[in-house]
Amino acid sequence: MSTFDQIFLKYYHSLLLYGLKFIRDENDVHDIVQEVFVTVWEKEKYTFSDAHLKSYLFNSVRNGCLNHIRHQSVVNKHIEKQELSLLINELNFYGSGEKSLIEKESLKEIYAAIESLPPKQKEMIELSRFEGLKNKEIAEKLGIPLRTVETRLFRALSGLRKVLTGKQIYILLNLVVRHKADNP
Amino acid sequence: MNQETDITQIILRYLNGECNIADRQTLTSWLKSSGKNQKTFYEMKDVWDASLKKEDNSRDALLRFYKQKATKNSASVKSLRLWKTVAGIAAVFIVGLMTILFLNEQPVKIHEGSYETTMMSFKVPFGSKSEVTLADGSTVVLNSGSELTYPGTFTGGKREVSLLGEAFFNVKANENEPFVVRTDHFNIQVTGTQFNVCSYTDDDFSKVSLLEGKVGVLVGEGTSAIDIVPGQQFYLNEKERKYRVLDSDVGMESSWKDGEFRFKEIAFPELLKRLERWYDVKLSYSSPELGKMLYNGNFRNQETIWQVLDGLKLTTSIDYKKTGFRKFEIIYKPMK
Repeated sequence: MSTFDQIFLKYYHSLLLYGLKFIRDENDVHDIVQEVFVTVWEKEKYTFSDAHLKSYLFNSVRNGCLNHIRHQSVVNKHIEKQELSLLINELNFYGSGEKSLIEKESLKEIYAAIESLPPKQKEMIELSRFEGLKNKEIAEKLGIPLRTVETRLFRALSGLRKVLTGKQIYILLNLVVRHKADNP
Repeated sequence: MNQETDITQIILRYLNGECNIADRQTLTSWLKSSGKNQKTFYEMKDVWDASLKKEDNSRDALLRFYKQKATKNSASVKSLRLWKTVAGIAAVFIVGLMTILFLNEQPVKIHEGSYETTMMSFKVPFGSKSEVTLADGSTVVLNSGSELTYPGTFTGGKREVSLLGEAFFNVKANENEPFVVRTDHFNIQVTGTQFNVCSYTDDDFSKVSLLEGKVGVLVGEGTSAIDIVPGQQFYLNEKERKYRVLDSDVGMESSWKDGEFRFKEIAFPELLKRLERWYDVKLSYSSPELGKMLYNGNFRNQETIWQVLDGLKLTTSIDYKKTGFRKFEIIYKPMK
Protein backbone atom coordinates (compact mmCIF):
# COMPACT_ATOMS: atom_id res chain seq x y z
CA MET A 1 0.00 0.00 0.00
CA SER A 2 1.37 3.40 -0.97
CA THR A 3 1.73 6.26 1.48
CA PHE A 4 -1.10 7.99 -0.35
CA ASP A 5 -3.46 5.04 0.13
CA GLN A 6 -2.64 4.90 3.82
CA ILE A 7 -3.38 8.59 4.26
CA PHE A 8 -6.61 8.30 2.30
CA LEU A 9 -7.86 5.37 4.37
CA LYS A 10 -6.75 6.98 7.61
CA TYR A 11 -8.57 10.27 7.10
CA TYR A 12 -11.36 9.75 4.56
CA HIS A 13 -14.10 8.71 6.97
CA SER A 14 -13.33 11.43 9.53
CA LEU A 15 -13.22 14.04 6.78
CA LEU A 16 -16.58 12.84 5.48
CA LEU A 17 -18.10 13.18 8.97
CA TYR A 18 -16.47 16.60 9.31
CA GLY A 19 -18.00 17.76 6.02
CA LEU A 20 -21.40 16.40 7.06
CA LYS A 21 -21.34 18.95 9.90
CA PHE A 22 -21.91 21.66 7.34
CA ILE A 23 -23.55 19.97 4.36
CA ARG A 24 -26.31 17.41 4.71
CA ASP A 25 -25.97 15.83 1.27
CA GLU A 26 -23.45 13.00 1.57
CA ASN A 27 -22.70 12.97 -2.16
CA ASP A 28 -21.74 16.63 -2.11
CA VAL A 29 -19.45 16.05 0.86
CA HIS A 30 -17.92 13.04 -0.84
CA ASP A 31 -17.10 15.19 -3.89
CA ILE A 32 -15.53 17.86 -1.71
CA VAL A 33 -13.33 15.33 0.13
CA GLN A 34 -12.34 13.72 -3.18
CA GLU A 35 -11.30 17.13 -4.54
CA VAL A 36 -9.07 17.66 -1.51
CA PHE A 37 -7.37 14.32 -2.12
CA VAL A 38 -6.86 15.20 -5.79
CA THR A 39 -4.80 18.19 -4.63
CA VAL A 40 -2.96 16.04 -2.09
CA TRP A 41 -2.07 13.67 -4.91
CA GLU A 42 -1.14 16.25 -7.51
CA LYS A 43 0.82 18.55 -5.24
CA GLU A 44 2.33 15.59 -3.38
CA LYS A 45 1.18 16.96 -0.06
CA TYR A 46 1.48 13.49 1.44
CA THR A 47 5.11 14.32 2.15
CA PHE A 48 3.88 16.76 4.83
CA SER A 49 4.47 15.88 8.46
CA ASP A 50 1.56 14.09 10.11
CA ALA A 51 0.21 16.97 12.19
CA HIS A 52 0.68 19.45 9.37
CA LEU A 53 -1.09 17.15 6.90
CA LYS A 54 -4.01 16.55 9.25
CA SER A 55 -4.80 20.23 9.76
CA TYR A 56 -4.24 20.81 6.05
CA LEU A 57 -6.87 18.16 5.24
CA PHE A 58 -9.49 19.40 7.71
CA ASN A 59 -8.97 23.04 6.68
CA SER A 60 -9.28 22.14 3.00
CA VAL A 61 -12.51 20.21 3.54
CA ARG A 62 -13.94 23.12 5.52
CA ASN A 63 -12.98 25.60 2.80
CA GLY A 64 -14.46 23.27 0.21
CA CYS A 65 -17.73 23.25 2.17
CA LEU A 66 -17.71 27.04 2.45
CA ASN A 67 -17.21 27.43 -1.31
CA HIS A 68 -19.89 24.88 -2.00
CA ILE A 69 -22.41 26.67 0.25
CA ARG A 70 -21.57 30.07 -1.25
CA HIS A 71 -21.96 28.67 -4.74
CA GLN A 72 -25.27 27.05 -3.79
CA SER A 73 -26.62 30.30 -2.40
CA VAL A 74 -25.84 32.03 -5.73
CA VAL A 75 -27.29 29.33 -7.97
CA ASN A 76 -30.24 28.59 -5.75
CA LYS A 77 -31.44 32.05 -4.76
CA HIS A 78 -34.14 30.88 -2.46
CA ILE A 79 -31.87 29.18 0.06
CA GLU A 80 -32.97 30.38 3.45
CA LYS A 81 -31.04 33.40 4.70
CA GLN A 82 -31.13 32.45 8.39
CA GLU A 83 -30.01 28.92 7.66
CA LEU A 84 -27.19 30.30 5.53
CA SER A 85 -25.89 32.77 8.10
CA LEU A 86 -26.07 30.08 10.79
CA LEU A 87 -23.88 27.83 8.66
CA ILE A 88 -21.40 30.52 7.62
CA ASN A 89 -20.99 31.54 11.28
CA GLU A 90 -20.31 27.96 12.25
CA LEU A 91 -17.77 27.57 9.46
CA ASN A 92 -16.05 30.77 10.56
CA PHE A 93 -15.99 29.50 14.14
CA TYR A 94 -13.93 26.51 13.02
CA GLY A 95 -11.99 28.72 10.61
CA SER A 96 -10.75 30.78 13.55
CA GLY A 97 -8.72 27.89 14.93
CA GLU A 98 -11.37 26.04 16.94
CA LYS A 99 -11.14 22.29 16.38
CA SER A 100 -13.99 19.85 16.11
CA LEU A 101 -14.00 16.65 18.18
CA ILE A 102 -13.94 14.82 14.86
CA GLU A 103 -10.56 16.40 14.16
CA LYS A 104 -9.17 16.19 17.68
CA GLU A 105 -10.15 12.64 18.56
CA SER A 106 -9.97 9.42 16.60
CA LEU A 107 -13.30 7.78 15.88
CA LYS A 108 -12.17 4.88 18.03
CA GLU A 109 -11.83 7.20 21.00
CA ILE A 110 -15.25 8.72 20.36
CA TYR A 111 -16.92 5.30 20.30
CA ALA A 112 -14.98 4.24 23.40
CA ALA A 113 -16.23 7.37 25.15
CA ILE A 114 -19.81 6.49 24.20
CA GLU A 115 -19.24 2.97 25.61
CA SER A 116 -18.16 4.48 28.92
CA LEU A 117 -21.33 6.54 29.41
CA PRO A 118 -23.94 5.58 32.02
CA PRO A 119 -26.39 3.04 30.47
CA LYS A 120 -29.29 5.48 29.97
CA GLN A 121 -27.13 8.06 28.26
CA LYS A 122 -25.42 5.43 26.15
CA GLU A 123 -28.81 4.09 25.07
CA MET A 124 -29.87 7.57 23.93
CA ILE A 125 -26.77 8.07 21.78
CA GLU A 126 -27.10 4.60 20.30
CA LEU A 127 -30.76 5.02 19.37
CA SER A 128 -30.35 8.52 18.05
CA ARG A 129 -26.92 8.54 16.44
CA PHE A 130 -26.29 4.88 15.59
CA GLU A 131 -29.79 3.68 14.76
CA GLY A 132 -30.91 7.02 13.38
CA LEU A 133 -34.19 7.18 15.31
CA LYS A 134 -35.96 10.53 15.57
CA ASN A 135 -36.80 11.71 19.08
CA LYS A 136 -40.47 10.89 18.58
CA GLU A 137 -39.57 7.35 17.54
CA ILE A 138 -37.34 6.92 20.60
CA ALA A 139 -40.19 8.11 22.82
CA GLU A 140 -42.46 5.45 21.34
CA LYS A 141 -39.92 2.69 21.45
CA LEU A 142 -39.13 3.28 25.12
CA GLY A 143 -42.66 4.30 26.07
CA ILE A 144 -41.55 7.57 27.66
CA PRO A 145 -42.67 11.16 26.98
CA LEU A 146 -40.95 13.12 24.20
CA ARG A 147 -39.83 15.71 26.72
CA THR A 148 -37.99 13.02 28.71
CA VAL A 149 -36.25 11.82 25.56
CA GLU A 150 -35.10 15.37 24.85
CA THR A 151 -33.80 15.90 28.37
CA ARG A 152 -32.00 12.56 28.41
CA LEU A 153 -30.51 13.13 24.97
CA PHE A 154 -29.23 16.52 26.03
CA ARG A 155 -27.67 14.99 29.16
CA ALA A 156 -26.13 12.25 27.04
CA LEU A 157 -24.55 14.75 24.64
CA SER A 158 -23.35 16.84 27.54
CA GLY A 159 -22.00 13.73 29.29
CA LEU A 160 -20.20 12.61 26.16
CA ARG A 161 -18.59 15.97 25.77
CA LYS A 162 -17.44 15.79 29.37
CA VAL A 163 -15.83 12.39 28.84
CA LEU A 164 -14.08 13.62 25.71
CA THR A 165 -12.94 17.07 26.82
CA GLY A 166 -13.42 17.21 30.56
CA LYS A 167 -15.86 20.06 30.00
CA GLN A 168 -19.60 20.07 30.43
CA ILE A 169 -22.04 21.93 28.21
CA TYR A 170 -23.75 24.62 30.21
CA ILE A 171 -27.24 25.66 29.30
CA LEU A 172 -29.70 26.70 31.94
CA LEU A 173 -31.85 23.65 31.46
CA ASN A 174 -35.05 25.38 32.33
CA LEU A 175 -34.46 28.60 30.48
CA VAL A 176 -37.80 29.33 28.96
CA VAL A 177 -38.17 31.17 25.72
CA ARG A 178 -41.43 32.80 24.83
CA HIS A 179 -42.31 33.35 21.25
CA LYS A 180 -45.27 33.74 18.98
CA ALA A 181 -46.04 30.58 17.10
CA ASP A 182 -45.58 30.45 13.31
CA ASN A 183 -45.45 33.91 11.90
CA PRO A 184 -43.31 33.85 8.79
CA MET B 1 -50.89 31.75 20.58
CA ASN B 2 -47.96 31.86 22.94
CA GLN B 3 -45.98 28.76 23.60
CA GLU B 4 -43.20 27.96 25.97
CA THR B 5 -40.20 26.18 24.67
CA ASP B 6 -36.91 25.24 26.18
CA ILE B 7 -33.90 26.31 24.14
CA THR B 8 -32.36 22.84 24.49
CA GLN B 9 -35.50 21.42 22.91
CA ILE B 10 -35.14 23.80 19.99
CA ILE B 11 -31.47 22.94 19.56
CA LEU B 12 -32.27 19.22 19.58
CA ARG B 13 -35.01 19.78 17.03
CA TYR B 14 -32.59 21.75 14.88
CA LEU B 15 -30.03 18.93 15.07
CA ASN B 16 -32.73 16.41 14.15
CA GLY B 17 -33.78 18.52 11.16
CA GLU B 18 -37.20 19.15 12.70
CA CYS B 19 -37.09 22.93 13.18
CA ASN B 20 -40.05 25.03 12.11
CA ILE B 21 -39.87 28.73 11.23
CA ALA B 22 -40.63 29.94 14.76
CA ASP B 23 -37.96 27.60 16.20
CA ARG B 24 -35.35 28.84 13.77
CA GLN B 25 -36.13 32.45 14.58
CA THR B 26 -35.91 31.80 18.30
CA LEU B 27 -32.64 29.95 17.85
CA THR B 28 -31.15 32.70 15.67
CA SER B 29 -31.97 35.45 18.14
CA TRP B 30 -30.74 33.33 21.06
CA LEU B 31 -27.45 32.81 19.22
CA LYS B 32 -27.14 36.49 18.35
CA SER B 33 -27.71 37.56 21.94
CA SER B 34 -24.33 36.32 23.16
CA GLY B 35 -21.07 34.84 21.97
CA LYS B 36 -21.29 32.36 24.81
CA ASN B 37 -24.58 31.03 23.48
CA GLN B 38 -22.97 30.54 20.09
CA LYS B 39 -20.10 28.61 21.58
CA THR B 40 -22.49 26.44 23.60
CA PHE B 41 -24.50 25.71 20.48
CA TYR B 42 -21.43 24.77 18.42
CA GLU B 43 -20.17 22.53 21.23
CA MET B 44 -23.46 20.71 21.45
CA LYS B 45 -23.75 20.36 17.70
CA ASP B 46 -20.17 19.11 17.58
CA VAL B 47 -20.83 16.23 20.00
CA TRP B 48 -23.94 15.43 17.99
CA ASP B 49 -22.00 15.43 14.71
CA ALA B 50 -19.09 13.46 16.17
CA SER B 51 -21.29 10.68 17.56
CA LEU B 52 -22.91 9.87 14.21
CA LYS B 53 -22.10 6.30 13.29
CA LYS B 54 -21.92 5.54 9.60
CA GLU B 55 -20.67 2.62 7.60
CA ASP B 56 -17.05 3.22 6.72
CA ASN B 57 -16.84 3.28 2.92
CA SER B 58 -13.25 4.50 2.73
CA ARG B 59 -12.11 1.60 0.56
CA ASP B 60 -14.85 2.15 -2.02
CA ALA B 61 -14.06 5.85 -1.96
CA LEU B 62 -10.39 5.13 -2.63
CA LEU B 63 -11.31 2.96 -5.63
CA ARG B 64 -13.55 5.69 -6.93
CA PHE B 65 -10.78 8.19 -6.44
CA TYR B 66 -8.48 6.17 -8.68
CA LYS B 67 -11.22 5.61 -11.20
CA GLN B 68 -11.83 9.34 -11.45
CA LYS B 69 -8.14 10.06 -11.81
CA ALA B 70 -7.80 7.43 -14.50
CA THR B 71 -10.57 8.90 -16.60
CA LYS B 72 -9.41 12.47 -16.05
CA ASN B 73 -5.80 12.28 -17.20
CA SER B 74 -5.14 8.90 -18.68
CA ALA B 75 -2.13 10.41 -20.43
CA SER B 76 0.10 10.34 -17.39
CA VAL B 77 2.11 7.18 -16.81
CA LYS B 78 1.07 7.11 -13.17
CA SER B 79 -2.63 6.91 -13.84
CA LEU B 80 -2.19 4.47 -16.74
CA ARG B 81 -0.66 2.05 -14.34
CA LEU B 82 -3.50 2.66 -11.94
CA TRP B 83 -6.02 2.15 -14.66
CA LYS B 84 -4.89 -1.44 -15.00
CA THR B 85 -5.57 -2.21 -11.37
CA VAL B 86 -8.82 -0.39 -11.54
CA ALA B 87 -10.14 -1.98 -14.75
CA GLY B 88 -10.78 -5.34 -13.12
CA ILE B 89 -13.03 -3.90 -10.49
CA ALA B 90 -14.58 -1.19 -12.65
CA ALA B 91 -17.65 -3.26 -13.40
CA VAL B 92 -18.36 -3.72 -9.73
CA PHE B 93 -18.69 -0.11 -8.87
CA ILE B 94 -20.04 1.26 -12.11
CA VAL B 95 -23.49 0.74 -10.66
CA GLY B 96 -22.49 2.81 -7.65
CA LEU B 97 -21.13 5.52 -9.89
CA MET B 98 -24.28 5.75 -11.91
CA THR B 99 -26.34 6.20 -8.80
CA ILE B 100 -24.11 9.00 -7.67
CA LEU B 101 -24.29 10.79 -11.01
CA PHE B 102 -28.03 10.47 -10.96
CA LEU B 103 -28.34 11.80 -7.42
CA ASN B 104 -26.18 14.79 -8.21
CA GLU B 105 -28.36 15.78 -11.11
CA GLN B 106 -30.37 18.51 -9.49
CA PRO B 107 -32.22 21.09 -11.50
CA VAL B 108 -30.78 24.56 -11.29
CA LYS B 109 -33.52 27.09 -10.78
CA ILE B 110 -32.97 30.66 -11.82
CA HIS B 111 -35.75 33.14 -11.41
CA GLU B 112 -36.33 35.89 -13.92
CA GLY B 113 -35.77 39.53 -12.93
CA SER B 114 -39.31 40.52 -12.03
CA TYR B 115 -39.37 37.66 -9.57
CA GLU B 116 -36.59 38.87 -7.33
CA THR B 117 -38.32 41.24 -4.91
CA THR B 118 -37.68 40.08 -1.32
CA MET B 119 -38.50 36.47 -2.04
CA MET B 120 -38.81 34.21 0.96
CA SER B 121 -38.56 30.49 0.84
CA PHE B 122 -39.66 27.83 3.21
CA LYS B 123 -38.34 24.32 3.01
CA VAL B 124 -39.82 21.43 4.95
CA PRO B 125 -37.39 18.59 5.67
CA PHE B 126 -38.27 14.97 5.04
CA GLY B 127 -40.23 13.45 7.88
CA SER B 128 -42.31 16.51 8.76
CA LYS B 129 -44.88 18.98 7.47
CA SER B 130 -45.47 22.64 8.19
CA GLU B 131 -47.83 25.52 7.54
CA VAL B 132 -47.09 28.96 6.09
CA THR B 133 -49.41 31.94 6.16
CA LEU B 134 -48.93 34.30 3.22
CA ALA B 135 -49.21 38.10 3.24
CA ASP B 136 -52.81 37.99 1.96
CA GLY B 137 -53.96 35.56 4.67
CA SER B 138 -53.94 32.51 2.41
CA THR B 139 -52.50 29.41 4.07
CA VAL B 140 -50.28 26.73 2.60
CA VAL B 141 -49.63 23.39 4.32
CA LEU B 142 -46.38 21.93 3.00
CA ASN B 143 -45.76 18.19 2.95
CA SER B 144 -42.39 16.47 3.66
CA GLY B 145 -39.48 17.44 1.41
CA SER B 146 -41.32 20.38 -0.15
CA GLU B 147 -40.31 23.96 -0.75
CA LEU B 148 -42.42 27.08 -1.25
CA THR B 149 -41.00 30.34 -2.58
CA TYR B 150 -43.14 33.42 -2.05
CA PRO B 151 -42.79 37.21 -1.85
CA GLY B 152 -42.88 38.86 1.59
CA THR B 153 -45.63 41.12 0.26
CA PHE B 154 -47.73 40.78 -2.86
CA THR B 155 -47.36 43.67 -5.31
CA GLY B 156 -48.45 44.56 -8.83
CA GLY B 157 -51.97 43.19 -8.52
CA LYS B 158 -50.92 39.59 -8.56
CA ARG B 159 -50.15 36.88 -6.06
CA GLU B 160 -47.51 34.46 -7.24
CA VAL B 161 -45.76 31.59 -5.45
CA SER B 162 -43.56 28.67 -6.59
CA LEU B 163 -43.79 25.13 -5.33
CA LEU B 164 -41.47 22.14 -5.40
CA GLY B 165 -43.11 19.08 -3.88
CA GLU B 166 -46.58 18.80 -2.35
CA ALA B 167 -48.79 21.40 -0.69
CA PHE B 168 -52.38 22.06 0.24
CA PHE B 169 -53.52 25.60 -0.56
CA ASN B 170 -56.35 27.50 1.04
CA VAL B 171 -56.46 30.71 -0.98
CA LYS B 172 -58.30 33.84 0.22
CA ALA B 173 -60.77 34.97 -2.44
CA ASN B 174 -59.79 38.12 -4.35
CA GLU B 175 -61.07 38.46 -7.93
CA ASN B 176 -58.81 41.45 -8.64
CA GLU B 177 -55.58 39.80 -7.62
CA PRO B 178 -55.36 36.37 -9.22
CA PHE B 179 -53.33 33.82 -7.30
CA VAL B 180 -50.84 31.76 -9.33
CA VAL B 181 -48.93 28.66 -8.22
CA ARG B 182 -45.92 27.92 -10.41
CA THR B 183 -44.49 24.41 -10.59
CA ASP B 184 -41.81 22.96 -12.86
CA HIS B 185 -44.47 21.66 -15.21
CA PHE B 186 -47.43 24.00 -15.15
CA ASN B 187 -48.93 27.10 -13.56
CA ILE B 188 -52.20 27.07 -11.67
CA GLN B 189 -54.49 30.12 -11.72
CA VAL B 190 -56.98 30.57 -8.94
CA THR B 191 -59.11 33.25 -7.36
CA GLY B 192 -60.15 31.76 -4.04
CA THR B 193 -60.29 28.06 -3.34
CA GLN B 194 -58.89 24.93 -1.70
CA PHE B 195 -56.72 22.53 -3.62
CA ASN B 196 -53.83 20.10 -3.35
CA VAL B 197 -50.78 20.21 -5.61
CA CYS B 198 -48.34 17.33 -5.83
CA SER B 199 -45.26 17.98 -7.97
CA TYR B 200 -42.11 16.31 -6.61
CA THR B 201 -39.07 16.39 -8.86
CA ASP B 202 -38.41 12.69 -8.29
CA ASP B 203 -41.89 11.60 -9.38
CA ASP B 204 -42.71 11.25 -13.05
CA PHE B 205 -46.16 12.74 -12.59
CA SER B 206 -47.66 15.95 -11.20
CA LYS B 207 -51.23 16.46 -10.11
CA VAL B 208 -53.68 19.09 -8.91
CA SER B 209 -56.78 18.02 -6.95
CA LEU B 210 -59.57 20.48 -6.29
CA LEU B 211 -61.74 20.51 -3.16
CA GLU B 212 -63.51 23.84 -3.51
CA GLY B 213 -63.86 26.71 -5.98
CA LYS B 214 -62.30 26.73 -9.41
CA VAL B 215 -58.78 26.52 -10.77
CA GLY B 216 -57.27 26.64 -14.25
CA VAL B 217 -54.08 24.80 -15.14
CA LEU B 218 -51.70 26.29 -17.72
CA VAL B 219 -49.40 23.64 -19.10
CA GLY B 220 -47.39 25.71 -21.58
CA GLU B 221 -46.84 29.30 -22.61
CA GLY B 222 -49.66 30.60 -24.79
CA THR B 223 -51.99 27.68 -24.21
CA SER B 224 -55.42 28.19 -22.73
CA ALA B 225 -56.18 27.12 -19.18
CA ILE B 226 -57.64 23.70 -18.49
CA ASP B 227 -60.39 24.26 -15.94
CA ILE B 228 -61.19 21.71 -13.28
CA VAL B 229 -64.13 21.61 -10.90
CA PRO B 230 -64.35 20.31 -7.30
CA GLY B 231 -63.90 16.54 -7.08
CA GLN B 232 -61.71 16.49 -10.16
CA GLN B 233 -58.03 15.96 -10.60
CA PHE B 234 -55.64 17.21 -13.25
CA TYR B 235 -53.01 14.51 -13.81
CA LEU B 236 -49.89 15.13 -15.88
CA ASN B 237 -47.69 12.30 -17.08
CA GLU B 238 -44.35 14.12 -17.25
CA LYS B 239 -42.58 11.56 -19.42
CA GLU B 240 -45.17 11.48 -22.18
CA ARG B 241 -46.19 15.11 -21.66
CA LYS B 242 -49.82 13.98 -21.64
CA TYR B 243 -52.48 15.09 -19.23
CA ARG B 244 -55.98 14.03 -18.32
CA VAL B 245 -58.72 15.32 -16.08
CA LEU B 246 -60.38 12.64 -13.98
CA ASP B 247 -62.82 12.28 -11.12
CA SER B 248 -60.92 11.45 -7.97
CA ASP B 249 -61.17 11.07 -4.23
CA VAL B 250 -59.79 14.55 -3.57
CA GLY B 251 -60.23 14.18 0.20
CA MET B 252 -57.88 11.22 0.09
CA GLU B 253 -55.34 13.16 -1.96
CA SER B 254 -55.06 15.81 0.73
CA SER B 255 -55.48 13.54 3.77
CA TRP B 256 -51.75 13.98 4.57
CA LYS B 257 -52.38 17.52 5.80
CA ASP B 258 -54.35 16.09 8.72
CA GLY B 259 -51.53 13.70 9.57
CA GLU B 260 -53.13 10.79 7.77
CA PHE B 261 -51.91 8.90 4.76
CA ARG B 262 -54.69 7.24 2.79
CA PHE B 263 -54.11 5.67 -0.58
CA LYS B 264 -55.95 3.52 -3.06
CA GLU B 265 -54.44 1.36 -5.76
CA ILE B 266 -51.10 3.05 -5.83
CA ALA B 267 -48.10 1.22 -7.26
CA PHE B 268 -45.43 -0.12 -4.93
CA PRO B 269 -42.67 2.28 -6.12
CA GLU B 270 -44.95 5.24 -5.43
CA LEU B 271 -45.84 3.87 -2.00
CA LEU B 272 -42.12 3.60 -1.16
CA LYS B 273 -41.45 7.17 -2.28
CA ARG B 274 -44.30 8.43 -0.12
CA LEU B 275 -43.02 6.52 2.89
CA GLU B 276 -39.46 7.77 2.28
CA ARG B 277 -40.58 11.38 2.39
CA TRP B 278 -43.00 10.91 5.23
CA TYR B 279 -40.56 9.07 7.51
CA ASP B 280 -37.24 10.44 6.23
CA VAL B 281 -35.84 7.01 5.40
CA LYS B 282 -34.35 5.31 2.33
CA LEU B 283 -36.19 2.25 1.04
CA SER B 284 -34.93 0.02 -1.73
CA TYR B 285 -36.07 -3.15 -3.46
CA SER B 286 -34.79 -5.31 -6.27
CA SER B 287 -37.44 -7.97 -6.96
CA PRO B 288 -39.44 -7.11 -10.11
CA GLU B 289 -42.53 -8.77 -8.59
CA LEU B 290 -42.82 -5.91 -6.12
CA GLY B 291 -43.02 -3.27 -8.86
CA LYS B 292 -46.29 -4.79 -10.09
CA MET B 293 -48.18 -4.70 -6.80
CA LEU B 294 -50.92 -2.21 -6.10
CA TYR B 295 -51.65 -1.05 -2.58
CA ASN B 296 -54.64 0.24 -0.66
CA GLY B 297 -54.17 1.43 2.85
CA ASN B 298 -54.41 3.91 5.64
CA PHE B 299 -51.67 5.08 8.00
CA ARG B 300 -51.58 7.70 10.64
CA ASN B 301 -48.49 9.74 11.31
CA GLN B 302 -48.33 8.36 14.87
CA GLU B 303 -47.07 5.07 13.53
CA THR B 304 -43.31 4.62 13.25
CA ILE B 305 -41.64 3.35 10.10
CA TRP B 306 -41.09 -0.01 11.82
CA GLN B 307 -44.79 -0.34 12.59
CA VAL B 308 -45.66 0.52 9.00
CA LEU B 309 -43.17 -2.00 7.60
CA ASP B 310 -44.39 -4.65 10.05
CA GLY B 311 -47.93 -3.91 8.93
CA LEU B 312 -46.98 -4.39 5.29
CA LYS B 313 -45.09 -7.55 6.17
CA LEU B 314 -48.13 -9.05 7.88
CA THR B 315 -50.58 -8.25 5.14
CA THR B 316 -48.60 -8.52 1.91
CA SER B 317 -45.82 -10.58 0.33
CA ILE B 318 -42.91 -8.61 1.65
CA ASP B 319 -40.22 -8.79 4.25
CA TYR B 320 -37.67 -6.14 5.11
CA LYS B 321 -34.23 -5.75 6.60
CA LYS B 322 -32.36 -2.77 7.94
CA THR B 323 -29.30 -2.07 5.80
CA GLY B 324 -27.95 1.15 7.26
CA PHE B 325 -28.65 4.47 8.92
CA ARG B 326 -32.39 4.93 8.29
CA LYS B 327 -32.11 2.60 5.29
CA PHE B 328 -34.17 -0.52 4.62
CA GLU B 329 -34.32 -3.10 1.89
CA ILE B 330 -37.70 -4.54 0.96
CA ILE B 331 -37.61 -8.18 -0.07
CA TYR B 332 -40.26 -10.08 -2.01
CA LYS B 333 -41.51 -13.07 -0.04
CA PRO B 334 -44.49 -14.96 -1.47
CA MET B 335 -47.08 -15.79 1.17
CA LYS B 336 -47.68 -19.42 1.95
